[in-house]
This record gives sequence, C-alpha cells and structure tokens, in this order.
Amino acid sequence: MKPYKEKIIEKKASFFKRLLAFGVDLFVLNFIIVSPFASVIETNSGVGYFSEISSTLMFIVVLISLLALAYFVLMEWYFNKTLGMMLLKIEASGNMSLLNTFVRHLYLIPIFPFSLLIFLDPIWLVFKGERLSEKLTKTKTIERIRVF
Amino acid sequence: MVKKQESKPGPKAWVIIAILIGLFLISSFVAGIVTLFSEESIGSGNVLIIPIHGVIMSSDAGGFFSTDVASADRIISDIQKAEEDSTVQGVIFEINSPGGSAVASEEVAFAIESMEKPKVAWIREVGASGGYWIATSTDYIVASRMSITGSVGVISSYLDFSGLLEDYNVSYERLVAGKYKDSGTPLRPLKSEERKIMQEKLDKIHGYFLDQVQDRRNLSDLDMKKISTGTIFIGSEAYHLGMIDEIGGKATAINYLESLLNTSVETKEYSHKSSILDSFGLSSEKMSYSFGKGFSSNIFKEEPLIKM
Repeated sequence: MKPYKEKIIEKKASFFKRLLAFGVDLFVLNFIIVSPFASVIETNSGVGYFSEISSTLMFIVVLISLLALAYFVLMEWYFNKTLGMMLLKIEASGNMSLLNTFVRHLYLIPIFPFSLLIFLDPIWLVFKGERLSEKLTKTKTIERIRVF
Repeated sequence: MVKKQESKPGPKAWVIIAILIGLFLISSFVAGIVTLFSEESIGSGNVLIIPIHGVIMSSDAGGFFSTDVASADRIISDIQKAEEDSTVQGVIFEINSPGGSAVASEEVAFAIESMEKPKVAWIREVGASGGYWIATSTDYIVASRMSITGSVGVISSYLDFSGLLEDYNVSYERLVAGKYKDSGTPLRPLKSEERKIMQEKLDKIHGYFLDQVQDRRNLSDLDMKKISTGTIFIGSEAYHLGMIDEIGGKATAINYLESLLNTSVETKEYSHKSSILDSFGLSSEKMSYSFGKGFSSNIFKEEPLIKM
C-alpha cells in the first residue's frame, strides 16, 4: 500500500479571511501610525466651519495614508504578507516586486483618481473574486491548503 | 491547482518589529513637530469672534457635494460658551453668508438676542437674507461699503420636472392620503389652490422677517417698503437706509466694543474639537469636494425647503 503524498493546494483566499486580515492591519496601523497624531488631530479639527479645516490636518491625513502605504508595501514586498495576512494564513502571490506591491495598495493615496480605488477595489473583489489592483499587477491573494 | 510552494523566506520577527517601530517613530516625530509649530486654537483675547460662513443650516450635516455650511448648532454652542466664559467681554459675529434655512437663521438670531454680553455683527462679502436676519439680532452692525446685504425675502422655488417626465413617457402615479400631502412635488405641476396656500406660508414667513428687521433696526414704514422687496443693497446704500450702523471692517467693530467696554480689545476664536473619525471624514470630504466642486454645486444641492 502506497503512503499518501502530501500536496499543497493553492486557492484564492476567501473574502472573509481577506476582510479580517485587513481589519487586523488597520488595528495595528491605528496603534503605530494614527495614535501618535491623536491629540494633534483633535486640536486642529474645525468641524462646522467646513472651509477652515486646517492645512495641518490635511497634511496629517496625507502623511498617515503614506505611512500606511509604506507598511503594506514593505510587508508584502519583504514577506508577501502583512501581519493580518500572517494571522489569517493568507499571502500575496505572483511577481511581488516593489512596483507591484506599490500598485496593489494605490488606494491608500488620498488623491484623485487613486482614492477611487477605495470603492473600486472591493467592488471588483466581490464581483470578480480579485481586486482591480491585483488584476493590474497580475498578482493574487491566496491561501494554501495541505491535502493528503 | 497543484503547485510547488515558492514563497519568500519566512517572516523574521526582527524585520517586522523594525518596520513597525520605524513607522511608529516617524509618526511620533512628525506629530511632535506638528504640535510644536501648530497654532494655539484658543487665543487669550477678551472678545470672541464667531464666524458665520456659508449657507446657514441647522446642523453640520452634508455629503460629498455639500457647500460650505454655517451650522446653527455649532454657532449656538459657541454663543452659550461665550456667555459662560468669564474671559469673554463681548462677541463679534463675522458674517459671510448668503442666508439659508429660515428656521436655522431664526434659531441663531434668538440665541444672539438672548445674550447679555455686547455683540456686534461684522458683515464681510455677503450678509444677506438669513445672514442679515442674524445681523439684526446684534447691538451694532458694521459692513464694508461694498458688502452685499438685504435680500429680505423668502424663497421656496423648485424645478418642475413633469414636462420632462412626459417627454420620456413616465407618468406620476399619485397615491396620497390628504388632499395637499404632495403639494410641491416636482413630479407634477402645482395647482392654483396649492400655489395660493404655499404663497400664504411664504408671505407669513416674510412678515416675520420684516417684523424682526423693523423691530431691531427701528426703521420707518417708508424704508421698510424699500427693503421688503427682497432686493439686495450694498453697504453704502444699507447705511443710508439705516440697515447697518457703520461703514467699516473688523477694526471698526473692535473700536465700537472698545468704547463700549472702556478697555482695549483683543480677539480670539474657539476651536472645535472632534473625534478622529470626524476629522478623517471631513478631510476626505473636503478633498473629494474640491475635485468635484464645479460639477456638484449645480446638481446636488442640499437645500432647505424654505430659504431666506
């Protein structure tokens, strides 16, 4: 009798795993990137006087977005996965060059038209099973399953 | 799909920690710099400036395509704070508003009238309609000779789309309980009796507005007749009609308060703290708003039903 050979099957990561992983990453980013700015954001906010939102606040929002972009790019470029993805045992697959990892997270740049990807990426994911930026970079987010 | 595992080396804890610490240090460093150089939101003056900029609405509510809003809630909250703040001896209302919701304008006007501390209206570019109603509730009105003011009228106009719908063979199925329930719908033409009812309401509100102006400004019936047409006046015309007290700007308003309070005046403004989520919401709203401003302003206006 032949012993079963272990195989590893790659399949597209489930939507909920991806969502959870992203949630974990946001949680981490909230601590390491957003929290140092908490008091500055509060003192520079002018809710109500819409036209007078300080340029400081705008600068902070752009900076936080860029630092978050740096987190995703560095983690995926170096490890193919972020902390959230490690926890959920999913990873990015394909040619994970620095450019590709950057393009995968263009939605974090808070400037038009990149900001449109915040809406387009999840819609694409729901209907096509992959993010638009994944299609552009020919990369995937996968999970590996061991079978015998 | 069976594939040999080809991935980068397993995560090294020290690299992950280095990335996280690096990002945290950058954030903390920049936050520290910003704190050092950011202005103190609350000054140390004895006269508070409360800005009333944009369309006067009841609250901050507004979407991606909303224009600048002067929130009645926030202005009233500032007025209440100023009344309780022992360092505030007087208030200057910096008005730059074409008006807005009739109800919101009246709410602000009532709050100002109930103030015990001296209050001055400083009209900048525009202090018209609801903006002027608010100005009349102060003790003294200052405006530039070129400021636009007046427009003492009420408006509730809307577009009638029924012809357009007809062109596209779309009909309006009227299902109402209450004869006048759908009066003012843009989906069918207004009937003459409905028009009469709507006009009566507008005339009543116009009457309240005129009463307020006449009471607060002590204007003659003759002057009121000129004002009641809803026309706009520039500052110099408004001065001759008695609609404002003095031609000038911020310095004029300060001079008035200095002579009244018999002390030198320094101004300050309240900052408005909000949660981090509010701040992010507003910032992204402002960014998106800037990109679509020209497009949106004519299409997606969020306006009160009755405006002044």
